[in-house]
Amino acid sequence: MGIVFTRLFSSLFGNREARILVLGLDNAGKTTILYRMQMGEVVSTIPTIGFNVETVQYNNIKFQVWDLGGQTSIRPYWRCYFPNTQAIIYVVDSSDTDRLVIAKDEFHAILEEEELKGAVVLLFANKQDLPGALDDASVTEALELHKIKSRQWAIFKTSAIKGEGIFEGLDWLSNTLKSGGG
Amino acid sequence: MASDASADKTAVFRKLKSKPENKVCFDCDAKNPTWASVTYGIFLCIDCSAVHRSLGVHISFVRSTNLDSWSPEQLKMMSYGGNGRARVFFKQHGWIDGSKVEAKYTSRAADLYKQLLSKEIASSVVEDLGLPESPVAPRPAPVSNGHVKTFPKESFFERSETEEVIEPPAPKVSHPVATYPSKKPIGARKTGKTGGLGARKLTTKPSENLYDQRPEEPPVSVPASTKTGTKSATNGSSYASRFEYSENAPSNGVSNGGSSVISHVTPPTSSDFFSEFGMENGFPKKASMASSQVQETDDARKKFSNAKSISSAQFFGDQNKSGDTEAQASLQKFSGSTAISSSDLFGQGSDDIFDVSASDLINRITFQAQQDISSLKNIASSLMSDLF
Repeated sequence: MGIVFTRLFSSLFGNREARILVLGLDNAGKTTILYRMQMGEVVSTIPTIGFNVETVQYNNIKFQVWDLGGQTSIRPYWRCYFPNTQAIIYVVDSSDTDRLVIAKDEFHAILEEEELKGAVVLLFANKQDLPGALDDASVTEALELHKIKSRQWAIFKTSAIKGEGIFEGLDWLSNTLKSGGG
Repeated sequence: MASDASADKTAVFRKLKSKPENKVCFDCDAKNPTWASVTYGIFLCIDCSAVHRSLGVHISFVRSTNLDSWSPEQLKMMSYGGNGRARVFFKQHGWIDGSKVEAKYTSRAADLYKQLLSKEIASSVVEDLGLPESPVAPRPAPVSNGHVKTFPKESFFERSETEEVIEPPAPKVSHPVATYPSKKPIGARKTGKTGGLGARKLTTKPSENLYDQRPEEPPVSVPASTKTGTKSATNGSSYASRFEYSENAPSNGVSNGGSSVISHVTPPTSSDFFSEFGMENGFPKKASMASSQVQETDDARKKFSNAKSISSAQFFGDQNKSGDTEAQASLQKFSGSTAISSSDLFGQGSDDIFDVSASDLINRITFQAQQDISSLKNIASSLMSDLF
């Protein structure tokens, strides 16, 4: 009975769905973030070979979140998941300063993709709990976000381990998606 | 070039993985490890690589031997290092196999080994640049204690450069190098060139007993999983999806500067920018705003130092603005803000539409009022002149 009402409610008030890709270099924290969003817990992860997909209900939006492996040779397969994507969550290991350049190159390559032209971009400057982690402003500069002029983006300081910043990011994402961006 | 690199990579790993020591995971003895910690030059299984990854790149930088690309320096780390050498080193410093991984790799011994390896790589790079064909192979390898064999450290790269021959893996290490035909097999005492090195006992290690400490348990900052238990997220209600988040962190982006890492840094607080544009009241959620003319990119870092987030909207301000300098300048508007959304700037959010239009309205009213006053003055003066 309750299920019927829930269905009725959501059909009346339009539970929206959105397809989200979580991308980023290997060991940026994509899988940890996915399960932090989905379960609210820190899980211990192993390197993702392939992908994880979960549904996350948040702010009346049903996010279908795809977490794709970030190793160098499997990054080319990201493009298989690009069609019909409303938003990208790009995760950066803020403590991995040596590879910020690579993170930037991958990121801007993604932005060039035709199939992602309409996607809004949420960035997570992750691993803020680690020593030497750069803050969001430094990551903004390192990733040259000022060059992105044709789409909406936001960057948040996050710590998937501590659970900080992720849901602020999702708030921004759901508001942006509801207001028609992406 | 890419194919070159991958060919290099394949060749190096085929070579390295033919050594028996590299055929098992360094941490858990699982067979055929396909992951590696570049920092220590060790081979790991996927499960142990997960532990290393969780420590952060400043402790251990993990790569997949077959899924990742490898730079020549990283490959050198692996060929200079290797499971056998690392095992000897850790054993000498009192770390037995199977001890707690986090503690092991945050220990002083691990740090020393890390430095030792990277120093060797650095000097070898210098050598490579200076004397192109220099086959000075033997690195100061840790002297074996007898129970574990150490191989004389010839660089794989130098070997392959000088010889251009990929030898069968079986007779490891004992193959003659063209310039050093007298090199002896591993069991033999080192002679000739290697003699000096063989006599030394690990030059970079000052004192044996100093680091002989048992694996103590240094405070490892791996927070226990903050399991909060409430599983209400999936129980039917479409509103129950905020999870446990509100317990862990303030859900409201406003003014929780306490949780942001650098909240004590106060940005410059001259606030001419907004008053210039009549926008003093424009952004109600911002904790504080600072502005000044900024040209250098460095300033963005300072300006955003208190922000929890930065968005495209904040960065660019009005959409009709363009140009990098303006973009840079608009960065600073949001310094000190805790959570800014793009709608703040584009005026999409209802609050902000109100605020912007309100300030517009005020501007217009004041302008109108000024005009009215001046016209009143005119009328009054003309009246006065008419009267008198």
